[in-house]
Order: sequence, then C-alpha cells, then structure tokens
Amino acid sequence: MSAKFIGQFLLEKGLITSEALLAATEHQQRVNLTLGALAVAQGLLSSAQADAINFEQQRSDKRFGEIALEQNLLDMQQLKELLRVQKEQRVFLGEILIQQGHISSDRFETELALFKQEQERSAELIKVDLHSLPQREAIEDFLDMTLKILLRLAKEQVKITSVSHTEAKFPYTIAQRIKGDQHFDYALALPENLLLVLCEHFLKIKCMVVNELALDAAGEVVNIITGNGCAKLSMRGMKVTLEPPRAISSAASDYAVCVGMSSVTADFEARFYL
Amino acid sequence: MSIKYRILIVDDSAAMRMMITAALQESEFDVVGAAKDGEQALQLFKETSPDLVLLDIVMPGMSGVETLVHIKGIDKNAVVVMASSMGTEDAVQGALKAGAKNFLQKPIDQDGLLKVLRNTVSSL
Repeated sequence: MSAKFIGQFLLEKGLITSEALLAATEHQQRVNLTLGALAVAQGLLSSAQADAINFEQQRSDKRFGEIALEQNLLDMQQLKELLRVQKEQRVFLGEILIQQGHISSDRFETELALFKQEQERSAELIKVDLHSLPQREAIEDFLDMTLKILLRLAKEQVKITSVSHTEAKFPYTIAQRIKGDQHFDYALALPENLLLVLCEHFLKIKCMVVNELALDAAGEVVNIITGNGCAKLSMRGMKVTLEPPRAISSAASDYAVCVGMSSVTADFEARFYL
Repeated sequence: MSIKYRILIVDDSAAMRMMITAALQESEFDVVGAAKDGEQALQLFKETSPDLVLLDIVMPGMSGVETLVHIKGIDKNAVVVMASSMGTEDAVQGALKAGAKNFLQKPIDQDGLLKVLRNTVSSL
C-alpha cells in the first residue's frame, strides 16, 4: 500500500534526483506562505499575534482563520481576501520541477495521473482497513490529531501510508494509555530525525542526540496529541482519562491502538528527503 | 521593589519542568522548587510554603488531583493552578471542584503561562 507525496513518487521512480526534489520543496516552502505569514506580510497581524494563533492551534482542533476570527484579530472580509491571495499565489511542486528543468511538462502530467490513481487506491484500502476496526471512530480521531500536531509542531507533512499489523520500523516509541469509556494504548514510534525535530520545537533548544530529555519532550508531544484526541472523544459524549506518557523500547508500530491483545497499526510517511 | 511570587512546579516531565522554569525567568514568579511527582510535591510544599503551585494533572502514582487534595489538607488556602493537555469540560470542572484556583491547558507557552499565573495572583 502506498500513500506518498508526488515528489517522493517521482524520486522513487528515478525521474528526479534527491537534490532537485530538496531544492524544489525548499523553494515551495519559501514561496507558499502560510495564512499567518501572509497576514503578517500584509500588516493585518503582528508576528506575535500570528505566533499566538499558531500555538493555539496545538490545543484546539481549529483552523488559523477560525481562531483569528474568534479573537477578533481578522474580520471575515480580511480572511476571505487572505485565502484568495494564498490560493492565487500557491505554487505546486510540479510547476517548480518543470520550471527548473528537472522534468518535462508532458512527463509530469503523465506521472501525476499515475500518482493520483495510486493515491485513490491507497486511500480506498486505508478506508476499508479502518472501517473494519471495532474502535474506528476513536482511531480516526487519534490519527487525525497525530497528523495535525506533527504538522503544526514539526512543520512536517505526514501522510498515513497504511493501517495494518506491522513490526516497528523506528527505534523510539512513546506510549500513553487512554482509559474510561474507551480503553486503549496510543503508541507513536518515531525515526530519530523526527524525534529530534519535535524535541527542538518543544524545548526551543538544539537537540543533537536522543537522550532522556529528548524522549521526555517527545512524551509531552504525545501528551498533546492524546489530550486533543481525548477532547474529541469527549465531544462525542465519552468520558476518558489519560495515564502519563512513557517511552518504551519494544512497541509494535508507528501508531498502535490496543484493545486487549489486538492492535492496529498505522504507518506514516513524513517528508524527509535527506 | 516589585512583589515576587514564590511558585512550586509539579510535573513528571523533566522537559516541562525545564521549559516552565525557563519561561518564568526574569518574571515576578520565583521558582522555589520543581517536583517530579505528587510525593515530592508534598514534601517541597511543606518545606517551601510557596505562594502558588503549578500542578500537572496527569502524573504517575499520585495524580495531580490527588496531590491537590493533599496540598489542600496541609493548607486549605493553598493557591493551585492545574495544568493538563486535556482541555475538556470534565477535566477543567474536576480540577476546579477539587479546589484549584485556575486551569492551564498544555501545550504551555510563555505568554499563556504568565497570563494565567498573573490572573490567578491578581484575584487573591
């Protein structure tokens, strides 16, 4: 099963080099401004206000614009205009790769069509896998929060690549138990580079090696994910509590929801090209 | 001389204790102790008699709410701010019912932390 990014798809097929992909993604990140950065650039928000909204997004399942409206920092007309400009200015990876001469336009269109087919197949399989699970709604809630928090905290795009029973791919796993109307363990296994990125964002200091403090910081990230996940369950009328996160060395997967002896695993793919 | 408030931090996460201590540096809040669990918190509370306590709810062993009850047993006027990643109505209500003065939702940033602590001491 495969769910990846178009850049990775082209890279794996040998159609572009890793250097070209890295340069293109960096260019894309510079050009495609977030709504907050755009609002700051247009003088509608101060950097501090944009930072505060970004931070707020880590503890509530809300979009940037939604929070800005709630806090009366932007009005609806300003928000609509910002969204229009953001959409108009958005540059896609393919456009950059073509412009920079890494792939021809025709070839890219062909590959994009194949990529989309693969994505649709993959999404369908993930949907079928998820649908058969006894705690589907809870799993979906926690998967959703995992993707959002990793994006907001580590600024990394992450996709689910599969939902299955698999062995751990990554050495560092943080688990947290959810109890009450729903009872399961949430476990997040991380590659070293993502763990260090999370640690840096959390502690605001350079983290070079995985040590107790880095694992501890990753534990707090998991705590934020599960806290938000529990809030979603609570909105569905379920009463749940959390046990403290713990680092474990032999957990099963990237993400595992355990009910008794059964466990569900979702593999993630992050945008790491180096 | 400006008023300084003496604060005890209780969180099982070393990263959180470190982050909160750093965030309170050069503020009107003096960190007089940082405990990693409920038992250590009670010991440090007795030793330091802080003006306020920032207490994590989700901790191994004695939970934050249990620790709060013990702290209130030592000093019924103790001022305690609870912190949790779970900002549900139940969590907030539970903490306030147990005698907490305020509630802080994780993740914690410096501005949010200072705002909640200042609101808490201003209402004393």
